[in-house]
Amino acid sequence: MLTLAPVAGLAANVFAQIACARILRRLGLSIVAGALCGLLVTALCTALDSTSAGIALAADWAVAILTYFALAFGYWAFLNLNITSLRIRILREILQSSGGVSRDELTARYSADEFLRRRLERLETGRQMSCRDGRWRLESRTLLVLARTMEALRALVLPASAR
Amino acid sequence: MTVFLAGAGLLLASFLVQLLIWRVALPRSQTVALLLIFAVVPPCVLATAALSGHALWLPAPETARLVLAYVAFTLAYVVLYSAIEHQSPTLAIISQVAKDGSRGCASADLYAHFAREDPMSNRIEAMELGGYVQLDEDVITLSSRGRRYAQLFEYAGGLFGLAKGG
Repeated sequence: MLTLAPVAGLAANVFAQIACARILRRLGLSIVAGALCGLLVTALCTALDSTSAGIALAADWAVAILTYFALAFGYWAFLNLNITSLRIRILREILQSSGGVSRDELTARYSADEFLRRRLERLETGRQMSCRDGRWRLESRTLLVLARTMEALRALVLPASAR
Repeated sequence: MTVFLAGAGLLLASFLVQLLIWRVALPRSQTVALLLIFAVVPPCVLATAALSGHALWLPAPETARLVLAYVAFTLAYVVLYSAIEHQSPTLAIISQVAKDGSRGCASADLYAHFAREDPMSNRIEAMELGGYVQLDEDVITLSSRGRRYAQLFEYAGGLFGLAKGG
């Protein structure tokens, strides 16, 4: 059971997220509720099955919880692709059209202005930014911390020529 | 404890090998190269340890936990890497607005900076290169691979209650 604790947590995360999305009709809340539910199930399975003590017990918990976080991150990324990825949107639009879509049609549906407008709207709805008197300001530092972290990772991983 | 240390050690070894290869020559298909590195390095490290008299013997359940943890972290890293490889437009907007501090960034400046390029063209080209779509004259159709992906996300969109994003 200890081995499967993170998998059980992921399953609980998925089921709880789907149930909450259907009942509450609020996607953000359903993602948080699903993640917490999965964490709870992972912790319960680990608590019920771990027979170690001391540092070994802490290591068992660390492996189970961190593995769950990694799996939950993958699930969140999958959901996020549906919400933000333009490529996935293009694929879905072509699928829904019978004989394919012309490049001009796609470009007309989704201009550069539209691309930016959607992102600004999402950031404003998510209370990350606000616009007053035609000027955009940050309302939360959460995404800024994420942006700085990604910049640091890019500097660490990619050679200077690829940044 | 062994699972924790072995997992951390194998992930670190794979990451260091990736850094080394990336510094020598950046692969053309970075995600494929990343998956290959993270699949090949652990057996090599374990074989080297065994040959030098430090073989890692674990009971089956512990081995399963190690494999699950390693695979979960590898896949999470591959997902994260796609955001390292191509900067997220949303995070780029956040960085740009942060530069202007409390004064704020004018809408016109944001549009001048981020709405210059047609967002469709390079994505369509990348999808054609990746074998997801085919271009016949000016009409774009799905390849069988692209159709599978599109159906998966279409199904997921319905199941999870997600509107088409972008």
